[in-house]
Amino acid sequence: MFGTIVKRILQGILVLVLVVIITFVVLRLIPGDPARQMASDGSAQAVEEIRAEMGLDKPIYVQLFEYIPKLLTGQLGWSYFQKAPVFDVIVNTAPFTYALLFSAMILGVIMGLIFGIIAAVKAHTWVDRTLSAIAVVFQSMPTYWVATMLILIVSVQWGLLPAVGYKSPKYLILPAFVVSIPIFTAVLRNVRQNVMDGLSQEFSRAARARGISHITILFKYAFRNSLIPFITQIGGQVGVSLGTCVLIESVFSLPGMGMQILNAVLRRDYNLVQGLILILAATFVLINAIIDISYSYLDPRIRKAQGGL
Amino acid sequence: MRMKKKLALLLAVVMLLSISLACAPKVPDSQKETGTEDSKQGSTPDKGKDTLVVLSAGAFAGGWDPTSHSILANKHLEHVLYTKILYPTDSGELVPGLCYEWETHDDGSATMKIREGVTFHDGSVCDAEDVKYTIENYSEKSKPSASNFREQLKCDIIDPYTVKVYPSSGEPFAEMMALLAGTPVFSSERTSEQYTNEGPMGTGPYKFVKFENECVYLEAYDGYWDTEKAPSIKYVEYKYVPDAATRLAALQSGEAHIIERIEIEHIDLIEKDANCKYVEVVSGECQMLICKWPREIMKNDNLRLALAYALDREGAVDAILGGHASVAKGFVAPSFVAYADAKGLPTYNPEKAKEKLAEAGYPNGEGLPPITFTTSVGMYAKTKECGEYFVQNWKDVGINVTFNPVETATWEELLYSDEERAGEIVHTGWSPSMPDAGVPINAHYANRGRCNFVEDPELTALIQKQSRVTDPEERLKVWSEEVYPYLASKCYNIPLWVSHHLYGYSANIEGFVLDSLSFCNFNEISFK
Repeated sequence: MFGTIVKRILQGILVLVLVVIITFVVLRLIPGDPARQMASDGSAQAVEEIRAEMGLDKPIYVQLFEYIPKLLTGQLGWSYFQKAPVFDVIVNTAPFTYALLFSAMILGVIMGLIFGIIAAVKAHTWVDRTLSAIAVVFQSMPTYWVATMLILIVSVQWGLLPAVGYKSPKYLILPAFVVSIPIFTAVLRNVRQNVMDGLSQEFSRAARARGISHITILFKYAFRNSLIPFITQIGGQVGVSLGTCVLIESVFSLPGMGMQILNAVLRRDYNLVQGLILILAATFVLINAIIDISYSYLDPRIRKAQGGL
Repeated sequence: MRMKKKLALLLAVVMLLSISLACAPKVPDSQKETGTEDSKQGSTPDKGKDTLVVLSAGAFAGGWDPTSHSILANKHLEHVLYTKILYPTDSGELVPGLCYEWETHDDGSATMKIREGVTFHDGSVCDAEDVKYTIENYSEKSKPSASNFREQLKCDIIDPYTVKVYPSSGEPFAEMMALLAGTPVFSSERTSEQYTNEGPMGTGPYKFVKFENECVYLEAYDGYWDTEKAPSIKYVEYKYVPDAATRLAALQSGEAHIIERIEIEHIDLIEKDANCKYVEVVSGECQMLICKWPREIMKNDNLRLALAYALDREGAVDAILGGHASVAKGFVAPSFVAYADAKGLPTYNPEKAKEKLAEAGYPNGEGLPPITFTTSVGMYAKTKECGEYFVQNWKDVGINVTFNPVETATWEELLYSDEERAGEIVHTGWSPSMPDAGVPINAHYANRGRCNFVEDPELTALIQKQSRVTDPEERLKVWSEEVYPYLASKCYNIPLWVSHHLYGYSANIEGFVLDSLSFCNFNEISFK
């Protein structure tokens, strides 16, 4: 187990180093000038002075060699546009994104588990077909469109929930619901399939023959065996959901990292983009590492293959 | 073993809940639903509330030093935080601001009397020292704020409330007063660190409270000098909402009272909603096509004229912009000082375009080198659709153009670039906050044009000539009889149309007026 953890940590560090370098270089290679963003109609002299102040007049590799040692000491740099340390911007905005991500994950997983199990138990009946159809419909709807429709119906027509910004937890309800939709549909389909497989296995039939109750067979035999693929899928969903958060925060004007990253890319606020991408990548790496480690813990076969107990 | 698994499951649940709780954003009490009951259920903002909610289409830049940026959202904010030296009206006149009386002299200088009893938001007195500091810093060439100033202005203090302003070159400078009209007066004692840490500070009707979560919080300033125009709404929340559909939804749901830049297709929705209204104002922004002089082919006068004659600008305005723009008849917006229709400006005429193309040496487009036309997506209304229409217009007369729609940061870099990758034609709009024709024309054509990089000594001389004429009538004559016809005969830039500002607002507010420069005085707005 210890070896697995060390291996995952090293892999994670390698991923983050690559993310930093790729983000740094790609940002500077794409067209767009942060100095020009600050002084859009400024004279060439004013723009050159801003560029020098930002250190962008130096070659890319020099900028990179100056950036990495600072990064290693925890300095993420200065946001050109916001005139604030990137660290402060992240501290101010990360809570919104994580609150959105985790509430959407919890909502999506709970809904997916409940309806997935119901669909498996009622397999090939109208209940199963209806739930599967709902999953397909939700999966095929673009989240941007769903978000806009929900704003129009829930906020504008019904006046039930606010649509813009953040002042209290109720401002999270609509965006969290939208972000949870892809999670819900993926979990529903996955759980349905795996529980159905579990219920048709020899051990379930044997348990049924021994007179064990249907509920016990469902949860102790079939559902437990579906946990490994389910947990693996959750890891993948974190990455997808982070991407969805970026879009949805912008639609609902939720002042999280997603909205910041979108604006920072448009303004070519290099340091801010780099800092935000690093944090988002670290979140993804960390959650996946936890999931990998947890399923090697949950599945004795994986543990054994990795040389653990 | 079973216990161990249950424990692990329990720990996992506890961990998830803890993370979610820890992540729940904490909102300061002052920000919690402050006075904006109207931002909750129901679709009508309530009466008698104390917070005006305005949704900005552009993001605010931090730093807050008025000299450090040329960001439109910050300029909108500065309009209510500061008092400007003078104010322009939509008819091109200048009216008193902090300066209540002024006199211009033949040598190009002006003497200005400053109001007494005006205080900054920290209670300190605003006097000639601050005005001198403002003028000299705001117009300093290395500062982004000086982009429209032909040269730095200098200022002498005559007494604590009188200053003399003059161009640093000593040469008369007709646009000087218009440039001062866009200049917000700031304190000579405010340091860059104070701007960054404490925010902006002026003498305007509202004072800055804080900037949090992309929202600027303002509070009415009790010591505002113009007691007749003191704010009736105590607080303003000026919030950046990038998505136009979300801004509209917020207006319709009652969460916002004013929204910037509504989309053309949203007008119908607003018209059908009894709780919402919209205002359409002919702006000071003239949109145009920039012809890049450094590209050899764009030095061909007849080719540029062929490009101009081929454009069906009326068709684009009617069919694509739904009539929400005014076809340009000149090189600046009609609300600008020294505006006149440009005699000889090419209008849609495909036959004439073909004729000019042949005169350019490319009959029916034969032998014409590749031309690339770049436009932004997201900067102005319907640019992509208009761009496609123009490409078809040009194709119809035999000019094959490669269309290059790009996102705004890329477009902005190409707009100001003289390199090959910038292509031959770039679409842009220009709206300086100083409404005098000399400001944009000087920037675009004198010496080396800012975006087209044109170098035409004859044109530069004409622009300098108008700048030295201080009599308004004489000056207008130089513009209408010399500068504009010359520009029309050359078409270094091809004017398209003057944009219309479209803002939405709640039916429950009154006193909302938008000027052609898209400024709005929040202090004159009240709830019904």
